[in-house]
Amino acid sequence: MRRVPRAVTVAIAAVATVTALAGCGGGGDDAADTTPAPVLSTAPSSSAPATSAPTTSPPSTSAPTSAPATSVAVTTAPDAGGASTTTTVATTTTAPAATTTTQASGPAVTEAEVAELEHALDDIDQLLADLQADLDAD
Amino acid sequence: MKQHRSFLITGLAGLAAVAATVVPTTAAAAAPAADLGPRLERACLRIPNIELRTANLIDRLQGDATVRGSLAWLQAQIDRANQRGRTDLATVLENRLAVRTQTLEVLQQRQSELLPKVKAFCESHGVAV
Repeated sequence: MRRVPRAVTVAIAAVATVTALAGCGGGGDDAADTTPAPVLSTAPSSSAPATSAPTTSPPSTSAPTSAPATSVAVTTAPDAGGASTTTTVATTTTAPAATTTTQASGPAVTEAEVAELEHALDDIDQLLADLQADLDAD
Repeated sequence: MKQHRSFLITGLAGLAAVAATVVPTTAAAAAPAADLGPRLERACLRIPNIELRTANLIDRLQGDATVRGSLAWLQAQIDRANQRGRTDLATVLENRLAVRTQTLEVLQQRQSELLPKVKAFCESHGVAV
């Protein structure tokens, strides 16, 4: 019987760490359990794909259970650093910036925009090549 | 003891799985961003030649009956085939003329709408075309 609690402790610790990594809150307080969910569900949806990226750093941090985390997380998201919970949000908001790059003398361009441009040029290039081949066959 | 170890292994495996899924996504997200600039520049540098080829082919299609491959030249070929009673050839040429007529419309649309748009896009991002 003594083994079971240790095993369960290990399992719970692992699950708690994983949930902390995912930013779901590990919670003791009721307030912490109810409020973190909206923050993390809204932030990734508004931002781009790489929302799972910030979960790399949290292994050393373990404080998503702190009560003021929710309101603070939302309001302090812009300023990086600070408490471990806010760093999680801060890295979430900075992650999408990695998918864009800024040109030396122009606004940022996205992967989708470049791909669309390449596709449009490929399309017209193919059209010209087909027509040229057709004309050469006359 | 075995049970304890299996729990421990499961927990560690879970952590490793999370880490394994997290690290590649950050690396993958960072990789394309680095080459967006060169890709944009390369794409934009293709535009002048595409513009030139488009203009040349439009001119050729719109040429008179002496310009080989033009719509007028094709029509002349159709007329000649019909005069000689070569109806199969005339049908093939008519089909070819129909396709070529539509191709001319597409090219004109690309020339007047798409190419200026992509040029403007490149210039707005600092790539001279």
